[in-house]
Amino acid sequence: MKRYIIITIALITGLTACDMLDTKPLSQISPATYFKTETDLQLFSNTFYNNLLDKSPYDDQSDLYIQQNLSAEMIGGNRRTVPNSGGGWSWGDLRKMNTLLVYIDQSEDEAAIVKYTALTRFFRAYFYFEKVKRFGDVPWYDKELGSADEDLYKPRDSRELVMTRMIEDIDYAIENLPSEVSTYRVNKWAALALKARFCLYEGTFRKYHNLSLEGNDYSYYLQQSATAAEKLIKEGPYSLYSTGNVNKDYLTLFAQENASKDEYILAIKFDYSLGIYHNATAHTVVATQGRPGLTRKMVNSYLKVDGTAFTDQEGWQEASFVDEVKDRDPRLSQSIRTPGYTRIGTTKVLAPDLTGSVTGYHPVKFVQDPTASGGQVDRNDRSTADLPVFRYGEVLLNYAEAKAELGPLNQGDLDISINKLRERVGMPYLNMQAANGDPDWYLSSAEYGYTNVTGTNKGVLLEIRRERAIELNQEGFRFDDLVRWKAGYSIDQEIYGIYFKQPGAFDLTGDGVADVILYEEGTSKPTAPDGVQVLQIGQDILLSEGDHGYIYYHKNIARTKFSEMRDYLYPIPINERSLNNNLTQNPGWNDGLDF
Amino acid sequence: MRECRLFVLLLLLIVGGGISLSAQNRVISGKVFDAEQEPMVGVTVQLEGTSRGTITSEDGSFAFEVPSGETILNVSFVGYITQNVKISANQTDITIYMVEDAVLLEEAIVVGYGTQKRVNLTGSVSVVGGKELENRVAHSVTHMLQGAVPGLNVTTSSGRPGSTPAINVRGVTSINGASPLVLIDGAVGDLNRVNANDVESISVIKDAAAAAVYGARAAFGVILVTTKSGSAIDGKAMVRYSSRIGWEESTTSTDYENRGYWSVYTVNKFWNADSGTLYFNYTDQDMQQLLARVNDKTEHPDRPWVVEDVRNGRNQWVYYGNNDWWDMMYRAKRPVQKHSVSLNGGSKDVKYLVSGAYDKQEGIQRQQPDIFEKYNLRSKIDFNINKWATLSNNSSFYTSKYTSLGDGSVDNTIGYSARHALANIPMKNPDDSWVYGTPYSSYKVANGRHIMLGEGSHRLANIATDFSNTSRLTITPMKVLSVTADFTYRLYQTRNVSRSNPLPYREYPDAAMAYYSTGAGDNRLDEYVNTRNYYSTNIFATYNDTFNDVHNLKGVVGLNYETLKLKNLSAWGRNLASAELDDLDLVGQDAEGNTLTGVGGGQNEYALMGYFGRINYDYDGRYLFEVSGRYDGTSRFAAGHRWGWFPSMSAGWRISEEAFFEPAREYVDNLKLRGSYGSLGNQNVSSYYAYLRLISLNDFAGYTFGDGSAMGKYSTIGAPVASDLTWETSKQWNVGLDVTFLNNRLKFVGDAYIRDTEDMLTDGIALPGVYGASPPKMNTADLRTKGYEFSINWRDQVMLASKPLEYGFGFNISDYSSVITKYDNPEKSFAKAYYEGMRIGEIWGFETDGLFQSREEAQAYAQEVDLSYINNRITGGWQGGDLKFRDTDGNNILGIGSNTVDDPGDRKILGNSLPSLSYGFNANVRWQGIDIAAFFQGTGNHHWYPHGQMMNFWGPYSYPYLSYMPKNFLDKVWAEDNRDAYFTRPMAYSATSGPMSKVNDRYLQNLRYLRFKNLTVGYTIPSNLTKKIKLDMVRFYFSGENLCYWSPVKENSEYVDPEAVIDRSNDVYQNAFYPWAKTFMFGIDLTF
Repeated sequence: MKRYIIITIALITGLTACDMLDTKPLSQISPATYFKTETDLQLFSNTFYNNLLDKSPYDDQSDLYIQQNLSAEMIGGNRRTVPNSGGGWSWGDLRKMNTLLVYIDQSEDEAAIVKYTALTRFFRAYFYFEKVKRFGDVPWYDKELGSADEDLYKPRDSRELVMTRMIEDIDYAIENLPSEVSTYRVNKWAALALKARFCLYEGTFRKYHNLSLEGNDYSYYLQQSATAAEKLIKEGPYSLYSTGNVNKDYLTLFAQENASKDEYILAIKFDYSLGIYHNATAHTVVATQGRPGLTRKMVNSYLKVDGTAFTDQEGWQEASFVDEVKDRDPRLSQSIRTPGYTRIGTTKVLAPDLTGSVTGYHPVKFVQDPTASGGQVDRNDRSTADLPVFRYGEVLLNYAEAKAELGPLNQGDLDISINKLRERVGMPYLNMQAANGDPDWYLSSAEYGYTNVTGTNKGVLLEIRRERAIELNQEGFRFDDLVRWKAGYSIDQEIYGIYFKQPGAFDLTGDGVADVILYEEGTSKPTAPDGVQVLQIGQDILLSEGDHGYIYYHKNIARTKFSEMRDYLYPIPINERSLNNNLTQNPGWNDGLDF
Repeated sequence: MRECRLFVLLLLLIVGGGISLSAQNRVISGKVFDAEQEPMVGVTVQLEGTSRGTITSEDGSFAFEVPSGETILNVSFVGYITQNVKISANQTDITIYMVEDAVLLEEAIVVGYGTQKRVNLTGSVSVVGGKELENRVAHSVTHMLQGAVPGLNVTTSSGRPGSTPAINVRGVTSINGASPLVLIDGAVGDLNRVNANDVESISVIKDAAAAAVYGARAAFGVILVTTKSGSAIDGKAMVRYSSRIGWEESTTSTDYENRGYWSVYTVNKFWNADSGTLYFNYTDQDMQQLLARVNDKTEHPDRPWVVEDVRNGRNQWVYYGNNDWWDMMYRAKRPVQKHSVSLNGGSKDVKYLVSGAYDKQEGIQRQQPDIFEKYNLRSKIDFNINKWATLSNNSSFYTSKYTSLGDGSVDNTIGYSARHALANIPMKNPDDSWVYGTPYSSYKVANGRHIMLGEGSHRLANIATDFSNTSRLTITPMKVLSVTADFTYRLYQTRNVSRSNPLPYREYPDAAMAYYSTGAGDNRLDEYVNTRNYYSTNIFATYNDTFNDVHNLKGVVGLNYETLKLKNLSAWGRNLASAELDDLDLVGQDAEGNTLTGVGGGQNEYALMGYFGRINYDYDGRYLFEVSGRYDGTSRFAAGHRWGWFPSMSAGWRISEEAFFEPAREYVDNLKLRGSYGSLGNQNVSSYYAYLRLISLNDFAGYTFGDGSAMGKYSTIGAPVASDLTWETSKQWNVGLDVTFLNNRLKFVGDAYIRDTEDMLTDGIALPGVYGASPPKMNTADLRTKGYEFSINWRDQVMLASKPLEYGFGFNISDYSSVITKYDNPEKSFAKAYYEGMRIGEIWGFETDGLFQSREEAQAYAQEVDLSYINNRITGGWQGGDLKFRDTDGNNILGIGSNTVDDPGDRKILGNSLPSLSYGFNANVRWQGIDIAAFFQGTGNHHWYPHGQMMNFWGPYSYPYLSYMPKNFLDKVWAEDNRDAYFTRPMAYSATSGPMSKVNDRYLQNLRYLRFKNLTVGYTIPSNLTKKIKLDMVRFYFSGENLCYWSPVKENSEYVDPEAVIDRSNDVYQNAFYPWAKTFMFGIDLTF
């Protein structure tokens, strides 16, 4: 008996002696031993690239580029609602940045500390730019918030404060990031490009929305933008991608497997063997992926190759497709299918596919060689051309616009920016005086253009906007541009396509042979050889005037006019306002809350 | 069992030597049978008021002398109700049928680290005997417990073969959710992996006092499963074999719209109402073609179901069929079978039991059924080493395998198939190629799931193995003391294999065969192995003594230590050289010569330790006391917050033993009042190291920096944590009453309880999104659950056609409600999950006032009340057939106020999602070898607002392009000529983001149900016949499970089983899901 008691006691004390409850993590690392090496810091910051960069800029919808199903922004009215949660009000990445900035001091590698502090601050500016665009005033946080921190419940900070902090961040990044070309990693030049971009946004937003806040005025931001862009232009290692082929280079740039190191300052890498894809090719070549098309308004804005405006030409409104696309800015033929279009790597001439593009102006930008991705590039989500985040072309446009909006602009500014873009495609230079002397009627009309551009640079500003729309077509900038220009009404302008003057056969490839036959209900369906599209008007194709007119795919879709009062900003989710009553809702949004 | 009792009784009689015979006036002879008309051996027959008597012999007969005149015999046998039989003056022989005692007051009930006589229990413990499970043909022990124990709630989590139900004791336990601790023969195990035929008894411990010795994980009840042991009956081995086969069917309708015309018409109508375009781009002529075929059950030679036509310059197939996609993908009847065998025997010193079972369920996938198979093995050996030591060894092995076709999971396959397969579209084109994309829609038919099933190219296997071995040594150094030590090792492992391949299809007659080969169409093999090693040891000493005949003292003290180590391994590879074989050795290269593979790992461990003790004292079996407690530690909290002390106590008073109760004893056999109070801990935090913030390294799913042929890598840090996390505590008061009446024929057990769960580990407070991480868990919230439960059972025997007829019925019911008593939400905002005073499960929503019947009416209302908060998806303004939301607060704005309880806008509490009652009742009868048992189970009112993607309920008001549309759906849709319709005017997505997505009283469903859970009809061949062929027992039976149900929800949908409306992890899984099953089986049991 005694024996057992002793054994029992021995066992119990034995088990207690070593703390058998002290288990240690076996597959994760403690923060105390992390954040030491450059690799640690790099790995921790890698997540910002993946989380923040836009991996599908090509499908952005706007008044210039539309798809079969219109976005909520395009339909407007009650299709845009206040969400309960989500809706872009996500702050996890900001926390990660602020966390890294806390832990980074654990490292003893001083150079790495500076470099990754700069990188993190670059992304913090990038993060806040997205928030400001979407919500306007937002609270600024540059610390890791505790769960009891009163700042969780603070009201929005003023736009001015957020912008000031963003400029501090980006200036630190510009100062401290490496200056070597690194296409897939953020460097000093990417920071300059970001600064040029967001300062232009802020400057023009304040200018056109007539927003004057305590602190800096709009011209300060325009100046900051221009200075950053100029520094990049003058000191940076970048240039426009060009082989001297004005009819190919623009198209090739976006369809290349690997980013152009000359022009892409920061790009996202896509890789077939790793299975990292985007959908840009299928998006336009597969009829079931969205059926995108440029709108007629956009196509009209491409100049004639001699530099004159197409819309100044006699009969421009009822020109046939083959006629209208003739002798235009070479970028038109590198943006949509025009007569003679053959896909990269093939020889077959392709007509615009009216069942593949809702306007008939069938996009070709980003479309890769069909042999890419092991020959499967045409399939849903199999595109591998690297996508740009910042490219030199945009910097040039930002520079020109900032300068022009600011006031003092000279021909030299245009020559180092806009005219470089024109040079690549063989277009005549933009002449400041000529443009300002006779502002384009089309671009300033209420029906097609911008009604609120004024001042001495009105003419050249309109031309810069024309250039921007054309050059940056399908790259995801347009909706933001409309917001900062206070041009929401552009969305309400007609989203028409190709013109057909009557039912019958039409040539779209300029070879004199019909590619499409339109017939009316009640008439018998015409027979046609293979490859010719036979479409019944009113059923397969809608035209603006019934039996003739512009393709009007969205004719029967009820759209609500852009709300000038409401639609420039997005709503704050209901739950967020319920949790923090200090957050005011953006104007015009009914979230059901009575405060 | 009976033999065992006989043995004991014989011993008692021989030792006691209480048999004395003396000369009497006459001899009475007779025979004693049980209800099955088997002769009973060893029954004591005694002359009332004397010690004179005898015991029955081998054939159940007895004879002894009795005094002349009328007299009374007391006939008794352990486990049977003692009978007092009147013998008339001239009677010389008699036949007596004994009645089984259903109450068994002296029965030993398994409790934590020991047993307790039922009569002495002071805590709340319910027991289910193995016998009650024997007839059930449900697929797991957990399923069988549904409705059997009051206060035990079992929720079926899926209709998939092999799915495991959720189990919960006494309602909402903690807002973190928590399950009871399941111990199988004293070691942690999985209730779903126990062979039901092995079960001797199941004790469900419901209150804190009874569970206290398990401390750490027992806060939410303990389920103790005791398996059968070997028994020594004259060294004879006993074999029991049972076998049953049958089939399963869906509990709900699967009769979906299979007419092409109505499918296309309805989908287009709903789609068009939303977007102004057509989903399926068919012309009016096409619709006429469909209409012409609407009544064709099979293809009519004059009206082919697929027509070739040239459109848009291309030859294409036009689909005009009437296809039943559910029927083509899934079948109605699926076979099930189960076989089990056990061998049991031994000698005085060694007893053994070996059993095995095989279970096979085939599933619904038609082309190649999904199959769930499981095997159970158990071996249990008990040795008497010497007179003071016994050793037992108990091993169990379980393995199951579920194979199915599809990608990801069978739920994935069913869910994704529920879209885009309209009834006009066949699975295959006339050239035998698969249909996938069509020129008429931008979506993919059934998301290609029919190709995966048809080609057999997407294979999934989930394999689980579970081995457990417990060795237990018990020594009894003195009569009053025993010491037990045991050690358990458990190794369990899951292995998953998932294979995908490109999906072939053709879109145009003249097109080349195309392949979908990304994502689910990738040529890829994934394998995962998760291995868990579990060790546990218990050492405890039990002391049991009686002083002065009236002071009974019993004590247990012991130690428990457990640790679990788990390790994961995963690997994948692409471009396998074979489409049929699934092995990573076959991984090949892509077109560019890259070998694409990946690996993953992960490991964790935890440990628990506890010191426990319990003292039971009773005075003369009348006043019962119990004190117990446990000092518990867990590795899941930081040192310093790791240990907790959880004491409890209970008391009982057997009023029926008091002298003053004597007059009532004729009717009341036993009356006991019980009460207990105790506190228990819960350490169930989500992570193994919840108090640490850790860095993990990961590969991006799809990001690279262009340096090398590998995915980019990144590290992340865990969400912020509160380092002072500690135990959640649950404090529970329980009072109970046990009564048996009328010679133990009627039994009542009732309990009422209050449980306070304190310091719940909650998301401290819902924090604003700017916090940027999930809020740290903190011990901040309190919950109070109040409830009651009781059961009533009646059991008796009557004579029918001079044969005994045994019958019984029982009823049990339980109810509870849970209220949050502390939560950091002073403004009572709905943006936080809880608030003080909130009753768990409450559903807030809008009141409605029918549908508008005209545009004028709707517009007038919209003029008066600002409806912009709920007008999403309303096209063309408010009009007839739209839902009229009531502006209850009269402010002319339909809204949510300040989104708080005090200012909820126009919302109010519409109902509660938790069942207001749970009940079960059963009845059984046995006569002449025929046995019939029926079991019903149900719930009281509880509500459900259908998930917006539950297509079985919403039809095209959910996503409009559903494959499985309730038949004749338009009958329920408002139209000018259908004004009484249940649903609003057609509106795609209304239920996901439009007006019907706003919770309201019109579409709130009551899920109250009553289910005919089981019916068993059996026949046992009389043993005198079976004995001739050397069989002890032969029984044939039919048993049906889940036979039918009644529920108000049935009025609104024939397609939704009230038990199937559970939260699913993915919205798509709501679209369609594995149907709940009813089972029909025929079986035979043999014993020899």
